[in-house]
Amino acid sequence: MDIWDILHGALRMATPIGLAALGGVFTHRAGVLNIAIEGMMLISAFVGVITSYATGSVTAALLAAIAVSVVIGLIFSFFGVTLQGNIIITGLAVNIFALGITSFILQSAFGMRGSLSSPKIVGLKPVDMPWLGGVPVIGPILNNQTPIVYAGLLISIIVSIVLYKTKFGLYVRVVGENEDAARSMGIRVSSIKYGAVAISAVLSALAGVNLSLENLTMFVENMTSGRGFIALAAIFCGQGTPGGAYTFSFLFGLADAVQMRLQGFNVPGAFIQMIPYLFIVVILGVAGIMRNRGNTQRGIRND
Amino acid sequence: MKTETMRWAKRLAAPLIPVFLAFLVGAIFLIFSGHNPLEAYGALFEGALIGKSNLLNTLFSATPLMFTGIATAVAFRANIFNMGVEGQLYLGAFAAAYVGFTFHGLPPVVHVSLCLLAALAAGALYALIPGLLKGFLNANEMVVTIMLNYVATLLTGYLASYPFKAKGVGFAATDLIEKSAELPRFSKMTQLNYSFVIALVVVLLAYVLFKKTKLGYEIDAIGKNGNFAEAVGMNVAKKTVLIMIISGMIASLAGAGEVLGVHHRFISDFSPGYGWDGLTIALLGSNHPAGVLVAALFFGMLKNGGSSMELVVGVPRSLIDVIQGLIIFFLAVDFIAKRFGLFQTILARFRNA
Repeated sequence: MDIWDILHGALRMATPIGLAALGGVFTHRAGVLNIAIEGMMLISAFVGVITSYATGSVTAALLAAIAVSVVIGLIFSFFGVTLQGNIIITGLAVNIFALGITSFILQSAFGMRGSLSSPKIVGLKPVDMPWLGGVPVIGPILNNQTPIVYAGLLISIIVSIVLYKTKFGLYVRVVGENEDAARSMGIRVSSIKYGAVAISAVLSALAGVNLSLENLTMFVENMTSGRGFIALAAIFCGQGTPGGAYTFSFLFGLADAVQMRLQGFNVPGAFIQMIPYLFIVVILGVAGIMRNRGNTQRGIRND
Repeated sequence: MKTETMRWAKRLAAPLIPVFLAFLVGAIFLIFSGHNPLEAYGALFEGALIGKSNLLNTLFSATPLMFTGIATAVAFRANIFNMGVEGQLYLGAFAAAYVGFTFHGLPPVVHVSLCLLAALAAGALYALIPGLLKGFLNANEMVVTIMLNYVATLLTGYLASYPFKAKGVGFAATDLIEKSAELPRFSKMTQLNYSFVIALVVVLLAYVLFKKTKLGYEIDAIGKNGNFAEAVGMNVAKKTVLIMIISGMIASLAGAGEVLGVHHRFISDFSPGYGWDGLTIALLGSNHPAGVLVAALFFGMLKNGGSSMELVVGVPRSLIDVIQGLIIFFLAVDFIAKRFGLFQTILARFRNA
């Protein structure tokens, strides 16, 4: 059935966005506008590929990607939280730096320009679980996905639990809602923010590795192509809840899957490729209209 | 007198320290990748500054950056993060090319003006979308503009590959524009052309906008405190739309300048990220027109010198992007120091009142 194929694809396309968005939920709730997700994903995708290339081990690739991403996250926090730099600009710095450093290393260490592919790169393969494939409805969607896709689903549940049922989650929410109150309660605001950014870095790393070692087994310059920002859109549309963020990630993934499915038809490819991007713009607009309902204030501007 | 000197010293140090630190960290990367930083930087500056043609080419490389820098700065001053300069640039470029190859037999001045007007209209319309979404629906303008960048590249890429594709050209590009629509070069030895003059005029106009007009004052007021601006009776939503449109129009000129002055046709994906460079340049120039001009010239130098660095000592040009990212890191910190200062002066004023 075609529809199951599309939904299967949607889940696959949604995973990098969803993982990045789940991590971003923590920073969002801690009051840190983290646009560095994009850069952390890109660097992780790159580190994953070169580690897999060098060692042939996917585990090593995953660990290296997470480690580097966390270091980037720490630098981001140091500039943005400790030194109180403008958080948007610090995030921008991470993104531009990520673009530069990945292509710099690609060129100076591998002599490649644009992309790195090699049979030596070991990727993660889809897992076939016949018992799961037999289950109606969810079977065809869930079976034959790659490991990080499953991890993503599991993590969406874990993130909800951590955010709503643990002390850390509570602190994150308090810090985001009222920093002064949090401080007066004795919460170490900076540590909480560092923690939120670190979680976001780990999940962005998974998202990056999903792109470079599961969807493809290669690295392409700027291969994240705005997925970090799409994840931000998912967070905004989902109003900062893990469930909402993942749901919108799935919708955006669905738009992407539909786009890929439509490519055989007699419509110019460019217009079809626009679907996910336009969809996000429309959704953000609709979310704005919903927010403004019943609000008679003129020119709302709350940041 | 003394405080005045101090202020100037601070103003100069604010961008110089990040640049210096970025080059320093860049040198570490160079050492790790087995290059000699002095040699690399030497080749960079030599390729950018020594000799008349190198110097002129640096100005040439700086031209689109002046436009995108000012475009970004106009929005940044109002605390609007227009990251859609790249997309607005593409639509402006295509509109200019379309008028350039469609009309025939016009006097050059008229034809060029028409091309520029078409670009301005395209840029304004395209910036209207995020402007409205931000102003009236408070949708995050960063996400919206970045999404629209992809749409713009896809759309113009399609137009240049199918309906307007030039015959007998092996890549996605439109027909050449008429001779009457071209912005002439200054001399044969360089690609520097009259779009540089237009860029200078834009810088000057931006200066007038910020220093002499009510709108400029309002932009700064919104940037410092949007809610306060709203409270004292400014229609922030409408102004947000207007600011976005102005920003988009300036961005469109960057595209038009490249089409009319350099490529003489629209080429799909021709921009190597001029819009993104504009962000760095606006930040480095503290969103001040003169600062943006200097920062654009500086980046023109890096871009131009970067190519010869790659040729002469084999250091990848992407080092420039690394340095760019590092500069923004170090700038972010200064940036807040300034904003903090502002915040405190406002508080102090309230206390005194």
